[in-house]
Parts: sequence; C-alpha cells; structure tokens
Amino acid sequence: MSMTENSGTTEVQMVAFKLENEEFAVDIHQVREVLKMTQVTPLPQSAHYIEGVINLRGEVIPVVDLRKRFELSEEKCNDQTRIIIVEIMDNDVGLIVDSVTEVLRFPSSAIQPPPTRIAGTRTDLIRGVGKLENRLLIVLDIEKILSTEEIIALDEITLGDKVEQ
Amino acid sequence: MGKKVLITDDTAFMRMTLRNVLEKNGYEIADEAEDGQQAVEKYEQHKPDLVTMDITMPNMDGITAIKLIVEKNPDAKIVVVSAMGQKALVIEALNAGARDFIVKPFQPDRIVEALNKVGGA
Amino acid sequence: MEEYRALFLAEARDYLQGMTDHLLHMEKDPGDAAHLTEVFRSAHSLKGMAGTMGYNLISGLTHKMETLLDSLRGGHTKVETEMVSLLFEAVDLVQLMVNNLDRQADYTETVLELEHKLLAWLDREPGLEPVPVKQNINQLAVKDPDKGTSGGGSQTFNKDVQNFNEYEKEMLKDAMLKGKSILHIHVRLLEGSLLKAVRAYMIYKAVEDQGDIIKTEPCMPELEEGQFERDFSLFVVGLPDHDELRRSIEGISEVEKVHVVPLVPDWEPEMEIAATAAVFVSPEGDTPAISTADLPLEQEHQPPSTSDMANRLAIPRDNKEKAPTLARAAEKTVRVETAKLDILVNLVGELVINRTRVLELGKGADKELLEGSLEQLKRITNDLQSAVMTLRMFPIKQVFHRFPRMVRDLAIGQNKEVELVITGEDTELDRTIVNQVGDPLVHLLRNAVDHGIETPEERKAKGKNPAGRIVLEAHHEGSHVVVSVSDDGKGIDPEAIKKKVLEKGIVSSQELEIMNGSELVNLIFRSGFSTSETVTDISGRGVGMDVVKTSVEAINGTVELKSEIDKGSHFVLRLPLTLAIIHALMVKAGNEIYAIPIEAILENIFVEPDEIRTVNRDRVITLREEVLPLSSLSESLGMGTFKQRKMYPVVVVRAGNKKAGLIVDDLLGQQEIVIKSLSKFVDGIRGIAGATVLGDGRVALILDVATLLEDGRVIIGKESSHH
Repeated sequence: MSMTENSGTTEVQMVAFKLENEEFAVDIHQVREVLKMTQVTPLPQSAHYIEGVINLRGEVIPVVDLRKRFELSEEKCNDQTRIIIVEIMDNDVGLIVDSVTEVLRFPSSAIQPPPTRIAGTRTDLIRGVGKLENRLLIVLDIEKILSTEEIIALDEITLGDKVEQ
Repeated sequence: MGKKVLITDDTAFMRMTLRNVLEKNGYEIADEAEDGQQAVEKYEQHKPDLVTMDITMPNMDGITAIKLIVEKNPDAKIVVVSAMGQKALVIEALNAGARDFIVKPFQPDRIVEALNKVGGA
Repeated sequence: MEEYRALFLAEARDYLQGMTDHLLHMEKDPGDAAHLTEVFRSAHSLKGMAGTMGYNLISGLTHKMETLLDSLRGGHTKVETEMVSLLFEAVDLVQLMVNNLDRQADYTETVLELEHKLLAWLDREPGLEPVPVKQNINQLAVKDPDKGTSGGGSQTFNKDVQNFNEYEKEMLKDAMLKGKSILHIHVRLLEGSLLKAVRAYMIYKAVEDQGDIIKTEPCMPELEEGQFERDFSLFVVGLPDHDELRRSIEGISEVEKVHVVPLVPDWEPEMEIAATAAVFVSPEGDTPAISTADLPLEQEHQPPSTSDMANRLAIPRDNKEKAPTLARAAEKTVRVETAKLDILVNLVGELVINRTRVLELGKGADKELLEGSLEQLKRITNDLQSAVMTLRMFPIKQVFHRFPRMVRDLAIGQNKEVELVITGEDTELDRTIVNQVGDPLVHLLRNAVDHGIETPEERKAKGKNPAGRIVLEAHHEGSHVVVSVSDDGKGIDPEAIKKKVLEKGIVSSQELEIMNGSELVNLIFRSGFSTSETVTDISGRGVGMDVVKTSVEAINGTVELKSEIDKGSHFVLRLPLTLAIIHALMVKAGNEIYAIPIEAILENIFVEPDEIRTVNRDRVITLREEVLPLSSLSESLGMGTFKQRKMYPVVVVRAGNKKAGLIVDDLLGQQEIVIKSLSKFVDGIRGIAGATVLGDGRVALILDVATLLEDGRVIIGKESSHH
C-alpha cells in the first residue's frame, strides 16, 4: 500500500547499505524489513545470483545476492551480512548485502538525477545520487537491476572518481 | 457529433439494449462485436472513442480482449459491462486497463454516465 | 418478507434448472409427454410463486410460457427447435430476474419484447387466439421491493480521530511531523450501485496513486466485501493537490459526491520521535537449527475421504422441528466469501506445520501425559484440516450443468445431431479446480462438436447413427478426479499429425520414427501445433489444444488423448482433489530436503552398487524384469554430484508413461505439506513445482516430476564423470 514519495515533499528516507566499498541506498518505501542472514534454500536452474529462497513468516521469498549480481568476488557472510526485503513489482524479494549502515533522511534536493553521460556507467540503473556531507550514495533502481538478465559489473553502477565529490 | 462506441457482448439482446440506450443519448454505434476476438479486430478497424466490454464471452473473454486492445492502444477507453457477482473479474479487467465498469442489468443512465465520464464528455 | 424471499430464490432456481433439463429432453424426444408436462408444471409453479411475491414481470412472462406450452399439450403447436430456443430465452430471462430481484423494473422492455415473440409464435398457429400485447402492459405495475434505505448523509468530518487505533495515530503523527497534509475523503455512491466493493476499489486505487491511505472507514475487509451502504471514507496522507484528487474521484461513475476535508487532530504531535529505529525488525528466532536428518515421519497416510469429512461437518439434526424440504435445502448452504475460506485454509496449514514441530519437540520427553496430549493434538488438527478442506469442495455439477445447453446450441448452429451424456456430476473437488476446469472442458466439448462429430449425412455414409454422442464423465480415482470427454466422431489421423508437426518443425523426423501411435496423437498438445488459422487441416482438431494442456497443468493436472480414426476421440483429464495441501515423501539429496508428491511415486527401493549396470553411459537396474534408468537427484537438479555409497535409496517415480529411479541420499518419510507458490520472480523453474515450509522453519522445494522427466534431465549418464 505504501507508495514512493514524489515531488512536493521536503524529505526522503533511504536505507543505506554497503557492497564492497561502495555505499548504496534504496527508497525506504520499497523496503519491507531488514533481516539478519538466515538459512537459504538454493534453487536449481535459476540465475547464478539468485541465492535461493527463505521462509519469511510462512511465505517463501526469493533472495538475490547483490555481490553475485554485480560480479564481485564471493565473500563469506559474517555478522554484518543482512537481507533487505524489498517490494518489487508487487513481489517481495530479499537482497543480500555486506551490511546495512543506517536509515538516512535527505532533503529531497540533495538527491540529484544521475549524471547523464559518464563513460562506462550504466546510469539507466541508477535513480539518483545522494550527496550528504562528504558521502556519496548511489540510489539504485532495484527494479531494473533485477528485471534484466544482463551482466552488470559493479563499476558500471558506481561513480568512483568519475565525478567530483 | 456523437462519440463512436464499439459494443461488445455475446448476447444479441444486450447489444441491442446497449445500442438503443446509447443511440438515444447521442452516441454513434461504430459496430458490434460478439466476442473478445471480434472486439480486438473491430477496435483496430474502427478506432472507436469508447468500447463497452462484456467479460464472459465465448472464444475470447473480455479481460483478454482488454489486455490486447490496451497493449496496442494505451489510450483506449473501455467500460466493462459485467454481470453481477463478477467482483474478482471486474477488478482484473480494471487492472488490465478498463477505465470504468457498470453492472448488468444496468439502469440506462448509469451506462451513459460511465461513458460520459470516461469519454470526457 | 426476507425469509420468503430466500425460499423463493432457492425454489425458483430449482424450477429453472428443472425447466432447462426437461426442455432439453423434450426437444430430443417430442413424443414423450412427460417432459412437456414437467416444463409446464415448473412454469406454472413459478408463475404462482412470483405472483405471490409481487414479481409481476416474472409471473407475466411465465404465464406466456405456460400459454405456449399449453398449446403444445393440446397438440396445436409442434415442438420445433426455434421454439425451444425461444423458451430457453425465456428461462434465461427469468433466471436473470430471479438473480436480480431488486432490479425488476430494468427488465420491463426486454420482457415485453420476449412476451411478444412468444405470443407471435402462437399467432402463427391457426386456431389459437393471439393475446394482444397491450393488455399485458397494464399488468406491469412493477414494485420495487426494497427501496434501500440509504446511509445517513451527515458525517462529522473533523476531529474524528478517536476512531483511530494507536498505530494509526502514530502514522498521523509521523505525517504531521513531516509537514504532510492529512485528508479525510468522504465518498458517497449513487443509490442502487452494484458491486460496491469494486467501485470502492477503483476509488481506492485512484487515491492511492496520489497519496498513502492510512485508514478506511469501514475497515478494508468490509470495503472489500462491499459491506457499506453508500458512504465510505479514506484517510490519506501527503496529497499535494486536493482538486486533482477530487476530480479523479468524480471521474469515476456512480459517485454521487466527494468531500475532501483536511483533518486536524485535536492532539498535539509529540516532537521527539525516534527517527529511524523502527524500520529494523530482525526476527532472529525464525530459523532455529534443528537437525534435518531426523524429521518426524508420519507413517499413516489417510487421504481425506469426502463422505467421512461430510459426516464430521454434519450439523446435528433437530428432530422436534420438521421444516419443509425447501427450508432445509436452503439451510444446507451458507455463503462464505472465498477470501475468508482461504484465510482458514492458510491458518490450518500453519497449524499443521506447527504441529509437526511440536510433535518433534515432544519426542525427547518420555512423559506419557505429554504423549497423550500430543496424540490428541495430532488427531484434532487432522480432523480440522479435513473439515476445512471439505469447505472448499464443490460438486463438478456446477461446471457441468451449463454444458447440455451449450452443446445443444453448438450442434444446432452446425446442423449436427449430438447427444450429450453426463455421468458422475456429483463428484466433488476443490473450488479452485472446479473454477478452472470449466474453460478447458468448454474447449474440449466445443472441439468435439465442431470437429469430432460428423454431419448426419457423413455419419450415415459411414454406417453410424446419424446422431453423434459425446460422453462427459467424472469420477474419483485415489486422490485424483478423472474427467473425460469422449466422442464417437471421426477421430484423429496420426498420419495427418505427422505431416503437420514436420511442416511446423515441432519435432524432427527421427523423433517421429520412434513414437508410437499414442505419443503421436498427443503431439496436438504441443504449443505451436495449431493456431486458429489452421483449424481444418487435420480433421480440424488441435485448435489451441496447448491452451487446454497449459490450463490443466496449471492446476497440477494432466491431460491425455486416445483417438482412433472413425471411432472417435477420448480426452482424459486427471485433476488433483485439492491444491493447498498434498502428501509428499521427504527426501534428502546433498544438503537439501525435497518433497516428492506421493502421486508421482511408484515405490521406494534400496539398490546395491553391484546391481547397477551401465548401458550407454546410463546407470540402469533391472527391476522385476524391467530396465529402469537411475539418476542422481542432486545431479539432475544441478545441485551436486553422484557419490559412491554402499547402498542407494531410490525413489521410483512416474509421470505419464515415463518412469525413472531417483537416487537420493536419504528417505525421510511421508508428510503432509502445505504448498507455497514460488514468487513470480523465480517462477517457472522446470522440475520445481513450488516450495513448502518445514517444521523447523526451513524451506524445502517440491519436485515437479512431470517436467523433470520430460526434460530428460533425469535419465542418467548425461555427463557422467564418475564412472
């Protein structure tokens, strides 16, 4: 029932998380809840980045390993590993991330559309860039990232040193 | 200049009733379709301003027809004319892209109101 | 008045169904006066009842039917197809009016027109006085039985947050802190609006597009059930534009008026609110680590027997009061919203899962008392589960009963003579399945009439009875219901199929060569076999047969075809009794537990390494003089490799006429499992039918044996690197 916040509001809330050394964010309205890592039942014959399914209060929910999605080296999960349950196209999907840092409130003006032309960057997968003090958060378009079969390398969705911070 | 309407219903009786009511209220009947398949074809042929769509029909049901029409013509203005008790189906039809619905047996002013509202008259 | 009305409804529907049945018989056998008498009697009774109730349109129309039927009885008129069609039209219209008792006035024109047609028929016949139409118009002083008292118009809009619960108040506070506006949207629908629930849904959607709805009055479940008069309210947070909102609601039909009022709560929001902590819910205890190796094994396997469950559900008879038959009939059925049933079924499912868990926990403790109570818990949940499942059971009659009319109309349309024989219509199965089996059956019957049954001339030339025969049959078979459609028409020519599949490139000629007749004929279910443009190529059959197959498979059923040229075609649908809960054998393969539906299992065996032979790099054993290929389940799922062992547990599975042995690591026993669908996101994995939640909270996948075998993944030696 919740909907994404649009214009007209002064503040947006984002759930920030880490992958490798990059910081990302998703709109809090897309986030159902955040879980500690739990036992995942692997699914045969599915995309390599689909880690499997988990039981969330009796519902069976698929879980995507974002590290694998972005072709990163596998890392043993640790205490910090989290599953962010997001709602995408009316379905709950879990995202395994290195860690969830915090929930951030941004003035909506602090979120800017992705820079349009940067070599090697898939700006179509980025909803915007949030600048907060000296941090740079990339707001991912989770829906697009999960609905395409293409291989996406992490550096395609990070800005790295391509823009001035 | 009345707006052009495509009537879709598998019963001749409903088509006739709709035709009478709509013609009396200044609409022009572009054509009649007896099932979803015909509706899809006749929509492409006439490009009517409005469509009335029955749900349960032989060959192709109304929901499939709505999907096919709306897929090609996102601006298609379709009003579902459903039977009583088809709650779930009507919701499905609305989700498929129908703009409004009325329930059979309808009062003539209700279908006219629905078409006026959807057609923006 | 209300109770009379319920009686009237129940009885009228019986009469109408009776009229339909007897009209069909009457048409078939005009010489038998008994059917005509029955139709006449039904029309007459209906007329009387409707008159008593003040439903003058119904009584008027049935009176005209009676007049026409009477002239048949007197031999003044002959039974003709066209006239029977007209009578059917009248039955339909009465049915419509009975279904919409409150809206009689709407039918005035239609009824008049049909009455006119009925009388015009009489008019054609000499010796009968036509009844002038005018006379009847006077009878039509239609009463509107209940003029629906509309909901009170005045509502106070402000300061009505006292109805808000704590959670809703929190949402309000939060919104206010963020400086968002809160609106109370009050909507009134026009009087007599139908499907109010859907109307509310449309409005809800329109509002939801623009803001967050935090509360509705009445509450959501009641809105969804249409349980309100004409008024309802939505409380919405964060809407930038009132006018646009109002316009979008007013653009929906049957909306009488819309009020949008900003809401000002009469309490001050507290300024200090924890900023972020609330989002983090980490249910850690969700997955306790219980060793999966010793899952409880439920040995007794009791498929729910319908009659048994019906008995448990039976309401104790009250002997003192002998209600009339009809009243009892009406009492027997209670309408329950399907959503409520589904909730109940889900709850029972959860209960079953938890029972398994509790039973397991109880195993360690050897207290007799505990054991006794656990035994009781098990029994009660079993019974409850069976009882709940029967609530979902419906006789397949609900689908069948419309077919005689349909087949008749189709046959007449093509100048064919077709007799439809129906048996086993009381066979019960799950509501979902009953609902979904209709379309495939319509398809099969339509095909049988259109393309199976020949014209009377063709049939005569072949030495057949000019009237074709279609048999629609249903019966229980274990935990399945078998529904078959057979015709005695021209059948399907395997040679024509061969030509066609080669033409379309569906299978290669090498594949064709090794196919037997039955496999050939069943190629018509392949997708791409036929499109609507190519109907008549091979005996015309195969119009969208893949659609039939897909929809039957969607409810875990199978469909098979047997056909013989000039003898006819025989379609067999095997459907599960229910969808929600199944019996499965739990097996371990690699690190995972899988559920194999019992229906797919022939037997479990243990195989020693020296029994296994290798043929063409495939592992096989000889089981009762039959060669059975073996394959490792882990390997065929791509989840692991075959490991050497001293003894291999093997599950022998079957789908259609294919058999295979699945080597697993361990057999864990039989269990009832609740089927959970996989998310759309990972749907459609070949070989996996769904998932279930185990007693310890883990997810186990349910195997789809049919697709597993079909894909050939389960014939070993595919890439055997271990031998």
